[in-house]
Amino acid sequence: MSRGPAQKVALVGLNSPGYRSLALGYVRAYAQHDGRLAGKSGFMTLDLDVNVDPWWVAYRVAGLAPDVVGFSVTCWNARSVYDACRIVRQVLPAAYIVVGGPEVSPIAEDVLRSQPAIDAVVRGEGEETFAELLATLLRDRSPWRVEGVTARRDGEVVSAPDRPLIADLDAIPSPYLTGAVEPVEGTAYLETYRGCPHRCGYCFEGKGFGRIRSFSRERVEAEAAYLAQTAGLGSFTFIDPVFNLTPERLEWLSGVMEPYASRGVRLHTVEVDIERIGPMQAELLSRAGVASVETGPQTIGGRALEVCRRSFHRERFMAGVEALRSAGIRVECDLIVGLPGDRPADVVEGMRFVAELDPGMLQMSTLHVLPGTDLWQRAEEVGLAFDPAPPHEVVSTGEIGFADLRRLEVMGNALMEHYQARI
Amino acid sequence: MLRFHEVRLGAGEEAACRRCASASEIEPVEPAAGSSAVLDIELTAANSAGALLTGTGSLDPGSLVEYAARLAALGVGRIGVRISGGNSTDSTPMRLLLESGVRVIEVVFLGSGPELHDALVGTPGGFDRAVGAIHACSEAAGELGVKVAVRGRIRLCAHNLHDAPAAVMRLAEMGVTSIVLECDPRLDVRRSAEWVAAACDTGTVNRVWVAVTGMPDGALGDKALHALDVISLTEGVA
Repeated sequence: MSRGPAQKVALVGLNSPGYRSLALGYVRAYAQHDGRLAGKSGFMTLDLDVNVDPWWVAYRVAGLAPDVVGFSVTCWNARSVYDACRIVRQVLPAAYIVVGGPEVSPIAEDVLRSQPAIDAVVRGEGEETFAELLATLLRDRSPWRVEGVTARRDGEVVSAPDRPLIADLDAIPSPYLTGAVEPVEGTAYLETYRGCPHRCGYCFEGKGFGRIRSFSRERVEAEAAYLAQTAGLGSFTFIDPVFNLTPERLEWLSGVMEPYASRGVRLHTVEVDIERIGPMQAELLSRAGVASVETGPQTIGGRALEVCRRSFHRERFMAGVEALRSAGIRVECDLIVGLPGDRPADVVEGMRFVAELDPGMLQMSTLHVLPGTDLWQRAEEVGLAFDPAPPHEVVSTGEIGFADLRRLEVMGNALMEHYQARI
Repeated sequence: MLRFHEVRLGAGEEAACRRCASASEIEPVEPAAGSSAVLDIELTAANSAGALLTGTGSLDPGSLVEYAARLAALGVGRIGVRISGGNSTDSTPMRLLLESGVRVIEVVFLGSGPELHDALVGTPGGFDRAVGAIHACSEAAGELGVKVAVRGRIRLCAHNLHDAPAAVMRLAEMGVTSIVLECDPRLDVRRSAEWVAAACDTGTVNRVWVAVTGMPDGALGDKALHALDVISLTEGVA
């Protein structure tokens, strides 16, 4: 009779319906290939919908009888994760519960103080840190000594120093090519680089990564080929913050995707810097099989643009939308309600601008003041009040009170619904 | 924001308060010039953005579907129809309307329930027919897999002012996308402001946008945003 692994690890993702957590895929792929864990740690991934009742999440976790439970946390699933952790703690008192992700990483100590069921937070890039944490637990050493970990030591919350970023992203085995993530029918995510060239005040896309690091072209090409031949996967999307990062890169990606596009594979909602798109770039996107792109402007109010460190050039933006529309690509224009600096009239003007632009799709959202972002750090200075509990929705700004923000949200939703009601 | 050109296919709307209006004002009138040639002129003015067919009271159902289909064929992407629970066109099967290209259904109400609505309109069963149209629209949209916006238009006058918040609530429960509170300009602003404000708040709390027309500038006070509508109507008569 074979014995199981010494350390059973359950990785739990509470995702948007139909999606699987790529973050957990990376973490698992890296740990599975870590020599220190080989033959000792066994991994199971539970990808569940974020709407699943936390009691059933705990039920599924308990059924795996893990020694370590890891959750990936975003502002959208944080409440559900915390609820599930509390129940798992009662069911599996000896399990070591670890969380990581953009929601908890910048506020790790606060999370451990407010969530007694959680044992440790993995800060920053999780792959190396989580693997080392598992190795440390296997050896029965102190988790709070692991770089990038915040953990408990004799009832106190202690943070080890930050871990440097992984210099060579190819050191992380591909979650797809290693089988750590099985593409499911529907859609899948692909990442070609980490970091963001922009520094928008409300966004955590750069996750504090100071520079852009890329996966090798060979790696990206291999992943794309693998996903493109997956049965039932008619589309996938790139989660890169800017798909058209550089002209050379766009040309290369277009060439990579073109053969699959000609077989009907489509890319949906890739994020683009629309002000750098002309007919030639639109043609490259079209050849890549891009069916829809997502872009700003988020706001067109001068003061908010300044506070949020964004730029907006009306004519270039309009030209970009026109170029994409001419190439048959649907554009989703995003606006954020509640940015500091915007007055009600600015928000309404933004709605008018995107509605009259008629890009194909409108997306209105309310500002979420995310941990680790510039606005989170400067909230008081710029007059932002927000809910400290996730998803950290804005309560009021220096320019718009609570009631008018709610009105603008409702107006924005009505605009979205009316906009979509068309032939 | 979303520009719609109002294409009046006939003069007169049946769902108006009979206690306010004189008989001549509410008498349905035959389409003055509902010919396709005139409609084309309207389309030019509409610039192919959106069109809301109103004054449909005396049209036969087949004509309404025909007009909508014609607009769709000419490239108008957003086509709406205003119905009021008392029109002959209300019996047009909703599925046919949606199939012809209609994507906005605007339903006129004068009250939150049949007692008030029917009494003011003077048409027994009008309220139930208006509600039935909304339900039929949702059902047909689901069957056809198309996105449809349902708008409520509440006509407010001295006889139903007090009912405005309840009417908004009722429409919100029915799942409408937005509501227009069309205030009779003859309303006493001092008397109506409070009711209108309560109706706006009822909409906000229930996450339905309420736009107010017919109130003088400044009358909405701290609810000034409600003077804005997501649909901007430009008028025209076919």
